[in-house]
Amino acid sequence: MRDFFEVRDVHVMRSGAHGPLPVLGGVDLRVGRGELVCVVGPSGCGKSTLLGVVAGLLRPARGRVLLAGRDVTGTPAHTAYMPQQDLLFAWHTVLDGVALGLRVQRVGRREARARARDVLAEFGLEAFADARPDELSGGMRQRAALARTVLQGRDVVLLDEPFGALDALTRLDAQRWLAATWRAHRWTGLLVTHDVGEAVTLGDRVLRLSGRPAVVAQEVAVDEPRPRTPGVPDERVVRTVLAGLGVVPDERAPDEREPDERAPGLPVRLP
Amino acid sequence: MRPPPAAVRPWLSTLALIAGWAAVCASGRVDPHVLPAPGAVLRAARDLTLDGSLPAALAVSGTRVAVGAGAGVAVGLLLGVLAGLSAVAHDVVDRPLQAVRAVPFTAVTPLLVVWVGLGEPPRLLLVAVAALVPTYLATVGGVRGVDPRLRELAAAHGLGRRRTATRVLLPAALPAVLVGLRLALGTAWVALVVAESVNASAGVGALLTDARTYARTDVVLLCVLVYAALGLLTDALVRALERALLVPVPAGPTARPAPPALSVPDPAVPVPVVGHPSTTPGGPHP
Repeated sequence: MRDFFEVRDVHVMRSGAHGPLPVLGGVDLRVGRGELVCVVGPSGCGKSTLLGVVAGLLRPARGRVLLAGRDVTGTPAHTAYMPQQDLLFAWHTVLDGVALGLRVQRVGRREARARARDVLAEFGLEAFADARPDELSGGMRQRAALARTVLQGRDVVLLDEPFGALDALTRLDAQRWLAATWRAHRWTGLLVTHDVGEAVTLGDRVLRLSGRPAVVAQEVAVDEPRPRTPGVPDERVVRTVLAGLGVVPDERAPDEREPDERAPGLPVRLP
Repeated sequence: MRPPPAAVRPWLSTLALIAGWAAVCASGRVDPHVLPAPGAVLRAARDLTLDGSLPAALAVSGTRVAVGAGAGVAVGLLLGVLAGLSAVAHDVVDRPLQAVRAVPFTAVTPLLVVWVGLGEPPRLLLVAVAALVPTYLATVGGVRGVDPRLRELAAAHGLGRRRTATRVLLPAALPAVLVGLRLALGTAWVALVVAESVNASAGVGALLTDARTYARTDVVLLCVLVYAALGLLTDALVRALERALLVPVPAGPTARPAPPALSVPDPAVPVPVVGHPSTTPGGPHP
């Protein structure tokens, strides 16, 4: 069942120097219950803008967002949205910061803190519950932000480059951890990343957005069974996505290449 | 030679200056009327304390600052928060206050006397306005300067406008507000000196005027030092408040450039450089 939430023909405009600029030019997508769909695309604000629309923070110029059949376009607080920067409040301890969502939902302080402690334990951060965010490393802050995001108890989780600030090794660890946690909690949602390998490792499907005005230019299913090994994404799928971008393996012999293309070890031809 | 302990070190240059001052006076090369020795100033302090005039003057001046600056800061906070949260309030309040800020209060004092009458009201009003303007400016800047992505995060969590303001915007603006408070108290003291120099009946300024009339340079110097000490005292009070209320934020470059907010912030609002507690003058926190 592919329609737990749906984005229909969403257009978003930004005001530019010479008039309105289209950012999203008619994005359609559907996500089924329990699916993790990864969105890749060129850098710029298109992917984050899409997440903003799904999160209800941005009202599109045209189009709708439907959650379990209900129109939630432009209405925030139906999804659990995690922006690129952790934005943990400096004046809260990690525990109170993570409990934010529950307190907003009028859960009592003691219960909210208890549940936050449980989530922190699951995320391996229980020792830092009473620390301040600036005492944590970047990776730990991202995990705390993710804990805050999921503690809201919403079915749809939207992650904007959650591992962008992490170094390569921490990233692999984090990917494995996220995949396991996602399955355990049966979340549904979108993960935006610029890393095609990461998208293929984590996603049930990979959607590629084109440049502006962005549309879903390519959709590839990832059939590899779980658990998957981070860092070694399904080659075939990666190639399919890259081929969509015009990046193909360069099969020519070295002397068939143009002088400036004869650099050794250049395995692809860029468009 | 062992280095002096950390608590003493900031005071060493000051002590050296005082020692130099004492030495110059002791050498007899300076007319004691022009530059009284530190000893003379201390003796004047003792005499005025014993006859009660210094404590009384301190009480009067202190009360004026407490009442005037207290009122000014309160109103400045209120206007700053309103103008920071509401575009309408900002349009109404901001330009007039920016204009007031540009007016030097030495010019205004006689005018206030004409409008408000003689006695305490013009003095208190001057101190209040001197405290209001920096408080307002820092508060409105702090509230408007809060990262717009924090607002988005609050909205994504389901915080409405009122709770976003109280639970996110105001705490985030607090460091800027406290910097403004320090500036406000500084200007309030300056305004007090001006107010007390015109037609003062009591207070440290009156003491100063009397001393000038009778050419008691030692008392003049004493009053100047008293004003300085009072200013430092209120500054230390605010810094204690900062330590109690604020989480020390390590100043430093972020790991990567921040992504833009989904919503476009108001381009007409200049984003002020918010002072971190750790970078404002007065020394590092312990």
